[in-house]
Amino acid sequence: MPCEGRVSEVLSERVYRRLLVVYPKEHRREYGELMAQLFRDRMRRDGGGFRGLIVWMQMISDLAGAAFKEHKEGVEMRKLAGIGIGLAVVLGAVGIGTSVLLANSDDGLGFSVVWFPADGSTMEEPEVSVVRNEEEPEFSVVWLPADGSTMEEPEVSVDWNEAGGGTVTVGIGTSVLLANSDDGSVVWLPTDGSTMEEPEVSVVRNEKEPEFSVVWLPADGSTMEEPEVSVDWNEAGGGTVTVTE
Amino acid sequence: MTNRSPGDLLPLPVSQLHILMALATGDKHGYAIMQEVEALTDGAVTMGPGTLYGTVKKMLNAGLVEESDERPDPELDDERRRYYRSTGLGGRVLDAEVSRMEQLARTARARQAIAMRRPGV
Repeated sequence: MPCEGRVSEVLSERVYRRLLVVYPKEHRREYGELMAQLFRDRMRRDGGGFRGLIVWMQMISDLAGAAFKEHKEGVEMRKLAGIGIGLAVVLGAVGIGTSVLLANSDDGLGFSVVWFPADGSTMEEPEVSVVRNEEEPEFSVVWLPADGSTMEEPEVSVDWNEAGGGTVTVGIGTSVLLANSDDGSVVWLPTDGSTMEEPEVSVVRNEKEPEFSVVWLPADGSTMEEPEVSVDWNEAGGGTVTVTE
Repeated sequence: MTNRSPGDLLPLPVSQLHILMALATGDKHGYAIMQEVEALTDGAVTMGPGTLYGTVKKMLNAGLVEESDERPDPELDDERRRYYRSTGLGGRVLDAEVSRMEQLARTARARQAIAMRRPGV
């Protein structure tokens, strides 16, 4: 059944290409095609039957580990170069003054999370960057659909965890999940030299339960007061979810 | 970048060592590097696309490898493939790393021999 094998190969490559979204944008732009080509070569050689499953497991493991490193190194490079500001955590002796802004930005600051609509719509990819905002610590998610589509106002909820972190969930009709996960990561590096460990934030496609979540997990066990959550809608049908302490 | 001393880059991460070894015999594209590394390690190491190109990127930045325009066999090759080759610095770093590992192995064997001579061992 050479035809079936070919279909499976094409599908595998398609899925792998989608998974490349976990890499930083610039890395994907430079090496995405080459990585997909190497994946294709490897699947052609070892992709049949049970061996294909093993190759897939190796590929997922490789993807997660390599993407994590790329994000981590990208943030470190920006810190070293003094460009943009990455993200910041200000840890005080009492409680946490947390400061992160997830925003649509063209200035190249921070890192980008690319959006692949799971419903096959024509929506362009909005870019989400993380920038440091020390003066007015806040935690915002800016959502700007590029196609001018309308979007109903989503429900916003915060689910606090025992460590003092929480999950901000915005239920909208599309699907992206920013979550603490082992599948490729967006790495958080405090720039103030604090001892907080890096929480991992990653983007995965979630077709069954569309939602937009930001998971914040302070690793130092500190407490964090429940912030106010508000949504400021823009004319394009997107909006800004702001969580303020 | 080229003024760097090989010693500055040691010890070399094992993935970089494998790639320099693979490129020691000539220019190669990603898949050929992966195959060569598998052969060099008797199949123990298969570099995935992420690891391979993440490592290549670091090596390009460090001046250990560079992209090559040469195509060993253009007739049989895909134009989209990107070839890499070891630079002069890459060659010197490979030599230095191999010497370092040889020295380490000698030291380890000497210590092992001393331990074997100890009563009760």
